[in-house]
Amino acid sequence: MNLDPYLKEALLARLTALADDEVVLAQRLSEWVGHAPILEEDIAIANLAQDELGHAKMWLELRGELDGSDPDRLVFLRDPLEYQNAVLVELPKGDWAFTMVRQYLFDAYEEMWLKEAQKSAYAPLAEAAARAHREERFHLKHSALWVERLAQGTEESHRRAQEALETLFPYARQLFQPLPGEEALVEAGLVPEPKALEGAYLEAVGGFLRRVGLRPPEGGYVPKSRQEHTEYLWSLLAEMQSVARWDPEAKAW
Amino acid sequence: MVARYWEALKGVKDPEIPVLNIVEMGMVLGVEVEGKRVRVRFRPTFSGCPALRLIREEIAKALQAAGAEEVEVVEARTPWSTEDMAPGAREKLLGYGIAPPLPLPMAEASPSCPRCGSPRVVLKNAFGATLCKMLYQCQACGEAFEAFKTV
Repeated sequence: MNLDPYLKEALLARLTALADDEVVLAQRLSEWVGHAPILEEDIAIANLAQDELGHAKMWLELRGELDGSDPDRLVFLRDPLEYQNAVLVELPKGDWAFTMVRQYLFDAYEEMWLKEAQKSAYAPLAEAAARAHREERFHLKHSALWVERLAQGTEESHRRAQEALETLFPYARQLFQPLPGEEALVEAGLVPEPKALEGAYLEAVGGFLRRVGLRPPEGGYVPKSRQEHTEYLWSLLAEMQSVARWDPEAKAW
Repeated sequence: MVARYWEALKGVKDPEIPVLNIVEMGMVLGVEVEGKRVRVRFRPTFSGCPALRLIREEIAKALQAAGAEEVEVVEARTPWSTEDMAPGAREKLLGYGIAPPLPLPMAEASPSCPRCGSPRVVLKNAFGATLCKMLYQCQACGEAFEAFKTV
């Protein structure tokens, strides 16, 4: 498929945003390894992180096919201001409720996006989405179960889950902000329409949260662009990139 | 000649499930031969699989041992499903103590215990020691066992 230059540029931006969300979230998840509340969750969260990284690799390989970029360099040698992740995934891991509520909000979005993206007119994207969608099914099930457990567990777990939701819910809506030039991609049938997905998301996720006894907040600040970041991204990348920046040849183990 | 290379690939084990080779797993999509050049298209089971690099190296080694001088290993994005496993793979998994994947339409069901065959099992963790497995415990015999995820 031959892409017009403006479509190619917009697709590169979308692929980068997809990959950056996964890389940053995987890094936050991996901070729990060795520290999760129970052994089973330690294993589960390492699995989640590994899956997200696998998907990031896929998106960056798609990008590489379009512009010849090297996935490793993009991940390990790009500066924070060049990262295109949503604020949702860079916020510190917080407590277990914060981590699981964030994971649920992200998994539900990703599941919907991937399901729609399987219809993409750009065959490599449709194929990659189909592959990732099969794996994501397990994520959503897991995080939804945790949100339910926390919401209905004790007064304390409920309070913490609700508090996390207050902070995170507006940030989750940033995931549905169209990127510059994305309308053209939607029109060409290359990617799902973010605003249409947002309607379905608010209905499904809002419904689930209310059923388990949580109240999704109204309003709140939704970052407008993926150039917006918090200070937390700097320390996250500094740690994640330290080995590669110190020794770019430290590739294999 | 192609048959010889397919045979060689059967010697490459999935490092996380050493009773199955990558051909039985349905990971090899095609082998093309041009003189002494061999091109293999393969797909990972799970995209985040940490064994990919090792598998690629093992493929190259096996083909070189079978006479190839130049090996190209291409990773395809084609989704992999447990339905792509060869006949007989399920029995081998069972013999190894891992509950095999269920037929795709039954993906949400629980497997039976690979030790005593009881269907009375409880899910302990949807994630296991590797990306492709979940953890169950049998209520009848008490055995904790791994089950292959149905995807």
